[in-house]
Amino acid sequence: MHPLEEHYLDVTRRRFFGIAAKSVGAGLGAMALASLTGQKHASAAGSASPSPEPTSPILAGTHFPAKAKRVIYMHMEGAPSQIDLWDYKPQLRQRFNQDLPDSIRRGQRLTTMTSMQKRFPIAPSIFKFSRYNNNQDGIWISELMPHTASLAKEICFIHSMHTDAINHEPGITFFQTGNQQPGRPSFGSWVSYGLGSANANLPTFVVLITQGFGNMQALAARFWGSGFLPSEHQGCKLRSAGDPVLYLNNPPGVTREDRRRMLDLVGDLNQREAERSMDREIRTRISQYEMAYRMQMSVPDLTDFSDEDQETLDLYGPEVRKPGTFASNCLLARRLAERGVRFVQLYMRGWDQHGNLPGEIRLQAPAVDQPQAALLIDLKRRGLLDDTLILWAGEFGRTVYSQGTLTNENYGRDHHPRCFTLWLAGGGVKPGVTYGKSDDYSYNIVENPVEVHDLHATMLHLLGFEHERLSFRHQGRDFRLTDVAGKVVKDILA
Amino acid sequence: MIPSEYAHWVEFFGRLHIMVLHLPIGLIVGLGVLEFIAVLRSKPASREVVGWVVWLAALSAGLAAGSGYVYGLDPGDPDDWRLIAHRQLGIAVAGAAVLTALVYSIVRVEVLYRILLLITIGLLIPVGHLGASMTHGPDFLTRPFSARPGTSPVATPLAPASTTQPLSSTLTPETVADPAPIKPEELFATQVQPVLAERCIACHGQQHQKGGLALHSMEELAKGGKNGPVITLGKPAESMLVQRLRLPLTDDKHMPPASKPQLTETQIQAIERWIAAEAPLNVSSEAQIQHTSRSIPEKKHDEDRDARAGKLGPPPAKALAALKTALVHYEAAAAGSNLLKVDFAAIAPRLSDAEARPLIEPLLPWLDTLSLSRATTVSDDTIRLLKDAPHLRELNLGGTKVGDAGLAALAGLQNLKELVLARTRLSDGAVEAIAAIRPLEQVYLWKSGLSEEAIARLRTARPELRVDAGDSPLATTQESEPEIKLTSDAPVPGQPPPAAGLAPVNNLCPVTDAPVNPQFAVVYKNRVVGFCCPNCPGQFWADPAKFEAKLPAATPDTPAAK
Repeated sequence: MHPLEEHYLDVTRRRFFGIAAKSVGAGLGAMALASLTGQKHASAAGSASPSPEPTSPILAGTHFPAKAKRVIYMHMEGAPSQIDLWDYKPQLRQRFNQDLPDSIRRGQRLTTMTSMQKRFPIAPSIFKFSRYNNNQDGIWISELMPHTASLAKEICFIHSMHTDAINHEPGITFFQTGNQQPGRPSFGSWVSYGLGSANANLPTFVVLITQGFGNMQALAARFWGSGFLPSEHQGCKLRSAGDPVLYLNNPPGVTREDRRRMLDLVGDLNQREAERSMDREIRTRISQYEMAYRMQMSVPDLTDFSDEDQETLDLYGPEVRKPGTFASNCLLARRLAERGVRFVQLYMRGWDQHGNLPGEIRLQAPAVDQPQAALLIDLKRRGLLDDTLILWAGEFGRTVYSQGTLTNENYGRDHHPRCFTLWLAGGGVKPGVTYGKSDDYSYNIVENPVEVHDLHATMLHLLGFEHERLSFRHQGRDFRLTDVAGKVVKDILA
Repeated sequence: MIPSEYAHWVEFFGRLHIMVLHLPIGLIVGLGVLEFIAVLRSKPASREVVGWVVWLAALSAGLAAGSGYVYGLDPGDPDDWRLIAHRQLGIAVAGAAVLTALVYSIVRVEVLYRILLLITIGLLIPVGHLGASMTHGPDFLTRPFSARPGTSPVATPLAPASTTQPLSSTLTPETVADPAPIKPEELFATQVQPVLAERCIACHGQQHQKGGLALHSMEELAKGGKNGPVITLGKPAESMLVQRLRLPLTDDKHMPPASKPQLTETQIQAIERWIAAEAPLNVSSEAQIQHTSRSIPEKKHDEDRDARAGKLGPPPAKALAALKTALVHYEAAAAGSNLLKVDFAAIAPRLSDAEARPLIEPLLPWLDTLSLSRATTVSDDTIRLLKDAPHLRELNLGGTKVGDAGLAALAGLQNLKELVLARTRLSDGAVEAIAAIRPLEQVYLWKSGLSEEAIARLRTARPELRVDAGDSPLATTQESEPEIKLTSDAPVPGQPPPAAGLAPVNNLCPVTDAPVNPQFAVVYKNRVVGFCCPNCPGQFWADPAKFEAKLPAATPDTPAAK
């Protein structure tokens, strides 16, 4: 329905039930209020009170049968070096310290961090690669990721990603919202909007953050903001220290019954305000208050690992007991996935290795390697991997040439948006394959380029949506995650 | 002949019909009510009031008939019997109304007035009905009752908001009960033809062919309209028929016109499926319809399942509401599907059999996907029910108390493709029950209590079944790089090789270990030594022996400086 039309309808509803009530009798207005408030809330003792109508439009189901029911997106904030992890370029070992040929760089834009450099000396990876068997003719993976490499048969590597942004802020914003400018809804919010909640006791979109070891860029809450979508689709950040959700627990002296009575009263007041101002954000607020009330029970259960057996804990590695580590967050991601949370966004900060890359990556890579491999294994044996879509990506790649001093043991790498590697697994993605090819310098793409909109379109396709039809009307135009671009990469669909 | 400058006004007058026609209906019925009350009270109604009303009724009836006559000249199908009957009866009503008024005010015979009034009202009913059935569709009034016997006519949340009528309503109860799957060729007779008949052929049919298009027979359908064929076999998106249906409602070319009842998403999809199936167009529709009644050999694939599920009708709203109240998640398997995905995740750990059964039981025929994962106290008492869920495709029983008996109940399921039994306490006897589920493609048995020997037995019995017991082999190293040596041996493309003999023997500055810039080089012991910057040679010369060790060892064929 056209928003303006809806507004008019709201007005007539209000006039009918509100203004008319004065003359016809207060009964009519009260009746309307009761019908709009939905069922009277359950008694204080019952933890489950029915949620208000979700605002998701897709109750009628996805556009076509979906392969994936949910997404776990591991964002490697700072942009990991594809050359040292995934994109095997042995020929570079004989080009140490040579200048990057102009025929490769072709005068493309660089960041101001290296554009003043006199030389662009080639820095080959000093990490050893091994070939692992997958469902094609094998894939070479760095010694930094042995656990992940052992799952080569489950993973689809894309060696030909490229993005428009060259700096972190617009780069992450682009990956998260499909646009470099802040303000659009996050990917997770779109998925929440499209699929709706599958667990009324938890948010549909949860964000988990791990602090890394190196140079860390700011992580703004708007990366998981809902933009112009109703704010119930906003990502909910679970904190690693103290209470996972701030102010979720009742203050001392307040019982759950007190809280229930308070929410009922506030809910009635909010409902009146919603009727008066017709601001749909107030409806969201009512539903979020109810959600928070239920989360008082569901979140402690979620973050309590005592029901995990020792073997599972060991799988994620020794750090799993330490809240906030990537290991702990990966286990949490699995627990969220099995509870039906639609979109789990993990951030691993600290991949921005402009200098001293070898030293930093030796700390950074092991922190994610075993946990992310464990997550894949754990999901798979529980029958969840085939309907959980996993994405592992940084916001761009890193340069083949060294930023700063290049030695036999040390180098740094600058931002490189023109070619980098990410991987997908589960959720209807073809397992154990590589897609796309970079040139010998991992600088340009020579085969099957994939852009960020294509990635979004493909992931939405696996979730059952035509990316061109999942839209939201705002300020007079239909917006979508893929803006006006994006094509589904059919070759990586299982 | 009407002068052309008045044509707009004439058309305007014609269109007033839609508004004016309601006046005589109200007034004439009002007169009837007044007379009825008068009879009851044995006291005639006020002559002044009735006098005014009867003439107003006559006047408005005349206006309605006149405007209606003009309105009926213009669009639509001139040969539609409904239009003709409506016109003639409408004029009769106007005449009867005027006659009634004349009798009332001039002849003044009460009995005669009452008889004439009754006749007018009697004429009014068929006129109104015919008119409404042209604008709203013939079954407008009765539609709520024809939706599905036994269920609430209220649209369930599953139905898209724009749905006016589920496809299932065009099917008779007999076909609902028919378990046979639909072949692509039958799609036309059962799902496409009824839709065309209901929504299209009024304007594109035997009597009227707007745009030169007729859809009442296969031959005409294959012929297309004045803009060419409307169907491209196998390519719904390229078929004009579908394109027009899919245009936005606001587009002038959208069909049916925005003011007419629209096709539902399910109906459009049925047409798309039929076109995609490349069913031959050369068979007449009558022949197709007859063909349906013959028995069709069993054929199993997802489209069949969807088609059969389409006959189910929407799931009962009451059962869905119960799920919602219990915080159990449900969603449509896909747009337009009546099948359900149901997930108990929110309440699984505290779910008992007693709670689960009444929630699941009424929805069994609609289940496509069911997850009871982590419902640690749910047992075979609930799981046994699923034998009556014929469309169940995915079932997650991970962590439940499922036993061999419960699994045995699943043997008859014709569509069960995926079964999760991880973290259960099955005995080895369960293997036979699992193997008996023929359509099964994937089963998860991690920590299911089955012994390795039992799992091996399952793998032998069902070699095509993908069995994941948490023991999937990991990828292993096939080959590894030898020790890494960083050199600059490879020729630099597009750059001339450094002049022979002037290239430094070292890559790294002996003083700082930074890469060498060939611009800064000195000759030392007949060899060219490179540095990173102009400052280093000074330090080097201060104590060459200290740095010499960092240079590559001199070999007889080391290039010497000239």
